[in-house]
Amino acid sequence: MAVDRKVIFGTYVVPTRIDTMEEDSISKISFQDSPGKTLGGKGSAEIDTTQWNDAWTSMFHTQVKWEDLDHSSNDTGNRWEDSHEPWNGTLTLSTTGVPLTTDGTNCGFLYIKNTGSDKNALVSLTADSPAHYYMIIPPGGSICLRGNPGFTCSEVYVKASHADGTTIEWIIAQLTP
Amino acid sequence: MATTYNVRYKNHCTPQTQVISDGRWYLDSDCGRKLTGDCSAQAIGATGNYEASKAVTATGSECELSAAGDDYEFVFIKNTGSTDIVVTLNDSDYHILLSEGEAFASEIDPDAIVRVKTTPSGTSTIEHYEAK
Repeated sequence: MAVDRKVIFGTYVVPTRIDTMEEDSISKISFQDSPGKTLGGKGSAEIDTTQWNDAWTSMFHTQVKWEDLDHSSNDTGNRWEDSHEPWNGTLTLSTTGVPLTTDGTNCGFLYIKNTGSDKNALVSLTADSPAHYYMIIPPGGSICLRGNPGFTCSEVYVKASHADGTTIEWIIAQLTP
Repeated sequence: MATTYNVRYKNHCTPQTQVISDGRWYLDSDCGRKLTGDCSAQAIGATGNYEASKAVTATGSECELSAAGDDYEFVFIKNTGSTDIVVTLNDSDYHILLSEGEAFASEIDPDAIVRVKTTPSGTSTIEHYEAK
């Protein structure tokens, strides 16, 4: 049983330019003149020790056993009918937007990775009324952010950019009250 | 000589849990691993717009990083000040919180309007980079 939880997170960006010879495959990769360096930042998000249920992450721990899923509280427990976790830890998206959760408490931390191989995943932070899918996650990419109090978990909507669909894994954690 | 531009970026996180008060932090068993994404921003056609230090106030319109028509497709923002800042991608909903030293990086829709302000008041500074 956890007595406290947090998420350490970081971002790393490398803006580059690639100069390629016309008649050969020789190329040189260097930093863009501005900023001329790598960019990045890191932090720690305090999240609620008790999340609404195990679906705050899309995945199960590799050592989890069936008999560990014994929290029988309706809606907030971790039995299969309450947690709605995908068995393989990834969620398949179509072009119809879906919320990651209906939990209406403040969101403390959000991480989404596009685990697909071809199409983009789109993320809206404004629910579905109207949704603004302004965050784009290409295959293999991810986003992470801390939520400003007032921004709730149920406002996070996701969908695929193309009818072929894609898959995601995620963490969406309640803020410490 | 042909020149192309690229932005490679990673966002990663490590969920941790404590099992006794003031004890050691362990990898959270609800997740079981560290998480990371690694990709290159698509369709970056030119060198980006970089500023090492830009002032942020409590009024979002004073710190607009991407306006309508700018068509930026990638944004990086780092809070280099000591006051918390919040970020919106749609001009009005400031849902992303950044404390000192924290950064946000994502590909964005060209229609996104990116603004930054302090919360709830005060001044801060950011390092930022946009590309399209």
